[in-house]
Amino acid sequence: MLRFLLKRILATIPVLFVLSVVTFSIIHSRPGDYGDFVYAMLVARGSSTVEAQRAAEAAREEYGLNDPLPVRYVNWITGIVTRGDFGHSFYYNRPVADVVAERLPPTIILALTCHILATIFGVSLGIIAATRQYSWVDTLISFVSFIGMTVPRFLLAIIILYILAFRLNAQNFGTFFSPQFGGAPWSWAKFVDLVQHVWPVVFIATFGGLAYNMRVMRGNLLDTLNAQYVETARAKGLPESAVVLKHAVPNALHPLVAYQGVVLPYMLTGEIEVAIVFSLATVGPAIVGSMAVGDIYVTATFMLVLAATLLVGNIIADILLAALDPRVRIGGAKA
Amino acid sequence: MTSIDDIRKQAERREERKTAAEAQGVSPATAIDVADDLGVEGLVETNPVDVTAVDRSDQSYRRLMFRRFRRSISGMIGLVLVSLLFFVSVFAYFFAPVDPKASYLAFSPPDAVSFTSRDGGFSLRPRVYPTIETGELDPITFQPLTGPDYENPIDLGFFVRGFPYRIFGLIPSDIHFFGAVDGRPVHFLGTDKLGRDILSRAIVGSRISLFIAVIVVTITTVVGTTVGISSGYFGGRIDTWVQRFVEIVLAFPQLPLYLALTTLIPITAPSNVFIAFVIAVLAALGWAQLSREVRGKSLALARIEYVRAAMAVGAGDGRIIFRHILPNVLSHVIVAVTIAIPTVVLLESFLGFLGFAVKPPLISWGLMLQDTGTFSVIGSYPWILSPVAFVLVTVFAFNALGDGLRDAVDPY
Amino acid sequence: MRKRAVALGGIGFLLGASTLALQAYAIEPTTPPDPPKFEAQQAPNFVGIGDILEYKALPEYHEPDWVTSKYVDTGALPAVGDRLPKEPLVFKVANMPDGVGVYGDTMRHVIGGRPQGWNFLAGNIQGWGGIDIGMYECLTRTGPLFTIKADEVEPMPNLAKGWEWSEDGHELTMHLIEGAKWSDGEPFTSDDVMFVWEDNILDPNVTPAPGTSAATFGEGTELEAIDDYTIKWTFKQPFATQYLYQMAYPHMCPEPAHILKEHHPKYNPDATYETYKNFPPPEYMHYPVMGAWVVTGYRPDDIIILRRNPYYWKVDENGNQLPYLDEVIYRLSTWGDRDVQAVAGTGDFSNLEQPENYVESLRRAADPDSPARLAFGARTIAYTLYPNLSGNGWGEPDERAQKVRELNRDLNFRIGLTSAIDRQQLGDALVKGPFTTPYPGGILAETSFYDKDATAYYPYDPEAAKAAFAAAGLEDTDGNGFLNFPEGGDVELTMLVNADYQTDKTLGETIVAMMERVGLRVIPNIVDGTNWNNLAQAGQFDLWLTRLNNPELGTVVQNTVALAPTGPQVAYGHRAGPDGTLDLLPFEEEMVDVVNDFIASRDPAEQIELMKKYQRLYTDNVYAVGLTQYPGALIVNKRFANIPPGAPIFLFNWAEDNIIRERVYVPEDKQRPDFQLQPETLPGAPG
Repeated sequence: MLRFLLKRILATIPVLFVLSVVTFSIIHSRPGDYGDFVYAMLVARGSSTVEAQRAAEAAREEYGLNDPLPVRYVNWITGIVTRGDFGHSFYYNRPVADVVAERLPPTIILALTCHILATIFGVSLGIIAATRQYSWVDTLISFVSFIGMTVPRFLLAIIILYILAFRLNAQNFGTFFSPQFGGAPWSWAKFVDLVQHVWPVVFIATFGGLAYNMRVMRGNLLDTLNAQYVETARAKGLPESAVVLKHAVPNALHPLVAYQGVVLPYMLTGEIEVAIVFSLATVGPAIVGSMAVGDIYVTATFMLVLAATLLVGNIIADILLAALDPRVRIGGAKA
Repeated sequence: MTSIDDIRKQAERREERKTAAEAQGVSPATAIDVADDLGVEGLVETNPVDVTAVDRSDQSYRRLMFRRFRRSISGMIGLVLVSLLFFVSVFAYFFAPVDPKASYLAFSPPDAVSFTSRDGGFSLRPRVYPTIETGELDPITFQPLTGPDYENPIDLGFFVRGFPYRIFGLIPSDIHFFGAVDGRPVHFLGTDKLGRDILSRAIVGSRISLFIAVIVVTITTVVGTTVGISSGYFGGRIDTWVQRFVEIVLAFPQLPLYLALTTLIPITAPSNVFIAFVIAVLAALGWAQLSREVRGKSLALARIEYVRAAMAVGAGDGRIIFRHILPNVLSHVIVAVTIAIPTVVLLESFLGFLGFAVKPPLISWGLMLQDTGTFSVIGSYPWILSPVAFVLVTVFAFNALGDGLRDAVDPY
Repeated sequence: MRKRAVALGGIGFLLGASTLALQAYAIEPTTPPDPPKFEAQQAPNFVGIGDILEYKALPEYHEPDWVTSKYVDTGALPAVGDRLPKEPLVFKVANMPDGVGVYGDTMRHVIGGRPQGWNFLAGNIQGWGGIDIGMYECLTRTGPLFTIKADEVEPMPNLAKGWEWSEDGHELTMHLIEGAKWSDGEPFTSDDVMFVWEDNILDPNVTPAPGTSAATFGEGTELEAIDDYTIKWTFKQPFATQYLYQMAYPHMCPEPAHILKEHHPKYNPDATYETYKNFPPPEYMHYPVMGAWVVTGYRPDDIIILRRNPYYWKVDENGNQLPYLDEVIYRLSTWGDRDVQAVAGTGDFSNLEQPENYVESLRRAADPDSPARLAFGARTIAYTLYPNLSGNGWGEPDERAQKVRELNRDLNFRIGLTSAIDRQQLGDALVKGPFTTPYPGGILAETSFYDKDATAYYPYDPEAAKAAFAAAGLEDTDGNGFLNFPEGGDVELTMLVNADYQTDKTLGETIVAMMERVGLRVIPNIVDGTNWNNLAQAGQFDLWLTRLNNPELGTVVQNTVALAPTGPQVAYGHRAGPDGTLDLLPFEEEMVDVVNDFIASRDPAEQIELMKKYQRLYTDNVYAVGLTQYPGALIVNKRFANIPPGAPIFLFNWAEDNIIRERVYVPEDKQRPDFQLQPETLPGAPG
């Protein structure tokens, strides 16, 4: 097992490297850089075009944006490897590492919460639906799940925002905290404030996420419920619940386990639209925002982080799969 | 002493018995039992009907499938809806009551349909009172007030004459399925910001949305399943290398890729090139997830006893894959397909935000959904949200169909 | 109105691309329709500058009670009279819409920018949204000029309380306010101004945030300090009054020399320009300013808190030291969030610029318990379509694009473009009702230099558009519904559209549809803002759809040079080709002359006539295709008083400057003490 783990980890490093090169090039393939953002900002605020261009050029000089692409990439990578320096954020005027370190924890906590809720709800509903196939419960659950899958998230987010702001006179939405709680020490009131601010995001994410889990769980469980060994278990006289939970469900979980590996990076960026609508300072809006202004090192670093989490997630998924299914653990070519 | 030919023949007969048993609807495990039980051999040989059934085992399998499918209500509903969708989509201009590009009164609400005739009695033929501006402004929002024009009702009918179009781009015609008898515009779902009829645009827009979705899903399913099965079944080094590649594709950041690709397409490219690009990008990254899941299942399946038995008996890889692994993976693949189609439609609209989708003057649901993201639409002009309903219906249709198919394909 | 006669008798068969005189049809431009009236739109009260403020000493001064009890009585601060300059700036009560104010309360802003540092002079921004306007006061002030009578418009005095020109007009002597102090108690003198000039503007290694350079104040301009409170400018051009406008925000706004000099490489050999630029970082508190509020709190991606400046040098006529508001906070969120928070009541101030949100916001504001109200100003938001007029290679056009440039340079083609646009429908697509008005181009309606009779308006007329295109040599030869070039191939134009705003996209889509009706294929190139600016600057477009906040079309006196291609990199639709030269069309050269005459002129009557001539040239020749014009709205929380009526969201400057925020107050019965985050505190020592 350990050897397996070690091999996998070593295998991911070249993958990460390749990805970093590719994303760095892709980010730069679009015309327009941070200097253009400076120009746009100033022109929009009444500066003459000559002055705006001067400021833009100064920014380009200062941040090395006139250097050729390979030079910039090499500088960036050497910075990471030797000093742990992920570059400088032009927009925030701080080290990229600071920006990333600030955005990751709330994103991860939010994402994990949504994911756990979506999995729990999705799997439970899937089990219920499969065991009551064709009943009204099954139909209702299927209906709810496909609503969750189909309605576009950004639309749902905007509708909720509209209702809160324009109809319900809500006072606590947008960003994570109200002004008075931002720097305050943790307390029950602060927690309530946080929940008031983020519940739309959690709701939308869970609602959308549970649909997939539910459908897959239901589908797979229906398959396994008809399998031979389940028949055998029933024939042996086990109560139905034990049959379902102990024998059918674990086997039905395989594809979902494979899905777990992918889910973390998805969760990190999956709710971009909702986070943008509700102005939450998470990773998704940071990526989109930094791409829009040409803050290249922030974008590249976030991409690297995402890729790393995905690869780590895959490793975890493989481990889980091996743990669940001893046949896979033996692994290798067919006998 | 049995010769090697005898052993081979015995193995083949054993295979046939197993297949016959499966066609009878028993589980593969039972089928193997049956095949091993020499007693059944005699059963098969004494029953000529079954022999013929053995020869045409494929057909009866399919017939069985169809019978099972017909029993499933949701499957039939899904089939009907999907067929209807495609039919309407192909003959989009026939079903569209108004020219989707023509402009009328902007932001006008859906026309009021009434079933009373001129003299006040009930009439089977519905009439519509077109919406006109009353000339007054709302005192708060300064919007021109609109209301139904009771002076000029429009009679509705089937197969009326309307705006000209070409069936299949060749045959000119101007007959429409439903609309105003005198050819005047009717807006059953209201108009958008440029005064264009929403219902007609949605119907015509279904063409591109469905086209893109179907093509993309076909590509990703075929590629994903193939890669997944091969990787899971063959295992070993092939598996390792393929999975590395899949990892790279999965870890590929979608957003920068789409944004970068938007700049590579020359803006003066003709629309079909554009659509081909959209399809290529959506498909390029979409197959990887499915392949991973299919691989997971194949890995497990390849090690189940009856498959190992089949391998031991000398059955070829192709036979095993198509007879044993694929059908069991199929139900998962079908579920994935029915989830994938709406995902692609939604992805199309999300990409539309980034400017990477069909551009006007083409019409698609994604493009129409772009107009929905403002407060004024949600608060004052909610009929502009109707494309969402179209997407919902499409998704429901494909899901129902997928459910029915899955239940039917399930050999148990 | 001028009639265009058929074939002006042999005067001009012009070769090649530039055509002007030969028209084979008659088209009559009319005057534009009057902008519709609606009650929610407020007009400003027009006064003279002297009605707003003056500089004089008052018999006694007042301050908030808690300042006296907590700071003065304990000896932490000198008495208010000693903190103020000899003759503070006095705001007259008669000009205050709601009279003398009371102290207290906070104004809660929401912004989408982020502070990079507090050194604006060295190139760091503070996040916009009016933070820097509130912190850094400048020599002159232009924001409130929207309420000044048209013939009395000139920059308002601020830190410079007066100035006079020398006989020959080359020297301008400016008198600074005497005895004013920075928020940490240090005196403000001409040293601070000279530090800005010599060590920031003139220093080639320092680029101030707005890109200010010495050329901003004219080539060869010099500045020297005569004494502590007097400075003298020397300009090459006599009576160059346009530079007085440049001495307002954002170009001539001093920062504390006594703090910054230690970090400037010229005075400190250990410092570098990089450390100078990044000093002070956003975490540095109580940075000394001349503005009404000082930064006292900051949390990244969360909030910036500012508290009243105890040394602020402005008072009201009763001697109350300004500002009335004790606190201003800036929540760090997104720009889109700002509108929503203002409507919901959790933000106090927002500029509503997206017409798609007007109806809902109005409806919400009409609710009696709505916390915010909407105040519409003049129609100062205008969208224009700029054809790329460069024929000599700006933007490196390929074959198709070069043919399109030739078309753009043909007056018939431009007339066709403008006649194909139904501006009424265009406005309706954004928001129905009396908000939008057709905009032919040129100087904006409802501003002081606008003259309706000097404006040529080509009304919506598809037949006339088609005739104009035919006169330009375009015909649909292959019968596919789209016009073709004489040598074959469909005419295709690319239109650059900003993807960041729904309004831009809506307008783009509508124009594509309208052009299709007259047989022109327009392909929208919808790209995000940074990309959009890059392509626009590089000239890679045939048509550029833009809404410019630049003040020249509204105010005329600010940034006047941008009205015409007065330089190779100045205009938006016409810049120099790779060889550095501008190939101006004849009418463009006339426009340049008119603009230069305007700048040189000192006679207001003459200036008005010149602008009429400019407007004639612009609109007759369709220098750019105007689209629509509409007002922005201030969303202000109802509890605030002293918001001047008709304040535009942007004319000379942004609304945060236009409303004279230091005069804004909240009446006692509406105050919300729970909104203040640091009640009854004052900024401490810098650091």
